[in-house]
Amino acid sequence: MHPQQVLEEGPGSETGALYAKVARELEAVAADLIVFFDSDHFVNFFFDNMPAFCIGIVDQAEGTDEDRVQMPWYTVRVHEAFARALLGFALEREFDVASKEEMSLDHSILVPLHFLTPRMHVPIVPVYIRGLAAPLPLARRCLALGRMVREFIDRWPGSERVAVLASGSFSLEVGGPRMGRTDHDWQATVVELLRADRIDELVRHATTDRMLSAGNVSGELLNWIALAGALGGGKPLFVEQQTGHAYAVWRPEQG
Amino acid sequence: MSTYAVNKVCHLVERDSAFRERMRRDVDAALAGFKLEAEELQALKAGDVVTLFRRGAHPFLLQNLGRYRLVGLDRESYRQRITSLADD
Repeated sequence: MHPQQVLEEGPGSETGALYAKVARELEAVAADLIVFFDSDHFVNFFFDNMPAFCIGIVDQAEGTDEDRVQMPWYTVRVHEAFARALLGFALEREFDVASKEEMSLDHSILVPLHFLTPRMHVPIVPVYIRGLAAPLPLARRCLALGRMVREFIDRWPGSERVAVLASGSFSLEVGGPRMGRTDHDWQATVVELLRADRIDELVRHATTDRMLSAGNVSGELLNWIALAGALGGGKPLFVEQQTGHAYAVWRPEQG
Repeated sequence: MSTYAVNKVCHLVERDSAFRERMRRDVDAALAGFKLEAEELQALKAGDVVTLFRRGAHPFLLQNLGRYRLVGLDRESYRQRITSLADD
């Protein structure tokens, strides 16, 4: 969802209502830490150094400094100790993720937080997945990344109640020949498989070619797949669609 | 391959407002320091986003030329040019 459009639409809009539905569930579990799977929009990374996976390790981050994005400026705390420990665990588990100790937050993190935790009182841990520029990491690798993150969450000795968020489109073309179009077949497939908890099937379908044929930034689906890995199975409470993307909540059993 | 330099130019016009102004004032001077091939330099100056796209420039970045009204483009002319490549 385009941030400016979201702000113009406001909390009473369809988008606002969908976010509110997610926010109610997030409030119900009283999360005090959010692990956030996101794809950077050329804010933290450019082609000079573009990791497949990266953990943001800072004490706080601000944004968005995307010049075109009109939205409130936010400062969000990052759980630095958790993030740093996750990096160590990832490497131990043979996920050779990158780390970034100076970063800013882009709209794909801040728009959801604007609606879900507007007081920005819940610290986050950003985990970036290369989703906007091919070559993309494999879907099955992103699923495994999510499982690894879940294992880390379950082992984390702190008392934090951890929620996992993912942000991204299933079908979106930005600035390319198919701009303004949506691959409704792919959207329907993704939503159906998410609703039915057929994640292995989703992973098999979500090849780079298939995702990119649904739009040039549709690799953002990988964030959802990592989220599915972290959830470890189970059907969602709901998956509500909008054009090219969706809003969904799962309530997994505690590990 | 110097697609990297094309992407870099398109990235900087969003991230660096001083560079954006230089692109407006004197495009030749602004682009002088980039390792662009002749065809890319020509296409950039002409707002020929079809050629730049075909050479591998990332559309997410390329669209900045239209968004910031550079090299003779605006959002609408950018859209018209790039969607002329849609395969239907």
